[in-house]
Amino acid sequence: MSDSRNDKIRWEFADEADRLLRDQLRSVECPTSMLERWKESLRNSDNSHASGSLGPSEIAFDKVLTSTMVRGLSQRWWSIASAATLICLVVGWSVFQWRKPSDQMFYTQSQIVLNGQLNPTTVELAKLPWFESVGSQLSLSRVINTETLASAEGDFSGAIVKISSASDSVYVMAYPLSRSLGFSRSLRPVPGTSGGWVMAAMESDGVLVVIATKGSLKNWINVNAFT
Amino acid sequence: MTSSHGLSTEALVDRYGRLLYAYAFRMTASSADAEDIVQNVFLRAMQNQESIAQASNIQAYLFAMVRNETSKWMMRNKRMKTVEDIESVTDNDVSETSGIDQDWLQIGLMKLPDAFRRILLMFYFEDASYKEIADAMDVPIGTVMSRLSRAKQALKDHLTQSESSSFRNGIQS
Repeated sequence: MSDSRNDKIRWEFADEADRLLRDQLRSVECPTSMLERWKESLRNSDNSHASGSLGPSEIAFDKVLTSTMVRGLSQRWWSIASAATLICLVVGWSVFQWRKPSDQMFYTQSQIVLNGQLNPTTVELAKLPWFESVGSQLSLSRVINTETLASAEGDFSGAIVKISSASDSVYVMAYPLSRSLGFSRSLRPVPGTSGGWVMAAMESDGVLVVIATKGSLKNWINVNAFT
Repeated sequence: MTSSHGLSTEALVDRYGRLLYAYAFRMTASSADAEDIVQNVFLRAMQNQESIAQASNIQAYLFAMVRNETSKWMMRNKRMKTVEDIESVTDNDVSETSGIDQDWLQIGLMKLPDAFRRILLMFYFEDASYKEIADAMDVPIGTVMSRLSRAKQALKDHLTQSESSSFRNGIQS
């Protein structure tokens, strides 16, 4: 602890109410399962970085940060990888726009299958745009090494969306079309078992976004929306 | 280089996760958003292990990251949550062991202007000094003292008054 902190005005609890308020503000329940989800997320992220120079999180930092040279190489490597990823995304998006099927249920090239069973009178999933650019709709900051994403936009009001995947790192986000209608909702990564699934109830009209993190492209993702 | 603490990121989750989550929840009034914010912080912490290792006060460092993430969240969520929203999420997210109505406490917090709420939470969660808060917020110490005093008073008034109190008027006067 720094000297300046010793000089600071610390808690002197002018009255008992102050102490009570401080305690109550901190008394937000944080279930153990949430801590486990964070750790799982860290492990997934770690796995996605397996080819990088950063070591697993289980390794103490003092063991990870042992070589300035390695770090320098790592930073360069990541810069190159980031630039390459960006270029690939731009090129891929352009190619996709060029080849985009107008009325196909499956887009097999990415091995992502969006199979809609939503009330056909409300939504024709086949005509929905499968791939949206990241654009302004998403904040991908929580997803590392995102390689692709698929989205379906339409009236999902009241729909139950079931996502199953053989991947252990699928993030699902349901964004309302009109942000004034509600908040974004994100689900945790599907636990790393084949056939794991998550289910989300869409609260309003929305954009369903399935984000497949690195590695999951080798597997399949199936999305069913039904009322 | 030797880490000042030698903790793995998962150990950080165990040690600081609950406190950071409480802080994020108090700022956002949303369990899901608070969870996302803290998850982001830990992911970033893992990516920035060098900075973490060099931090003299890792808790303060992590709190700063949460503040930063929360600010981004606020930018993305320009719509202020309504009282109904807050009431709908607080039921299951706060401890019931207190003598203070937690829903009412959260509503009072969310009624505070963002800058006031941030100062208040820095004070109560981080035990930060006026100077530390002033540095973090980039405002004069006098402003910190004034805002903190008014925020505390407004929150206390809110907790002891009925829902029809002129809370916001009081804080902004």
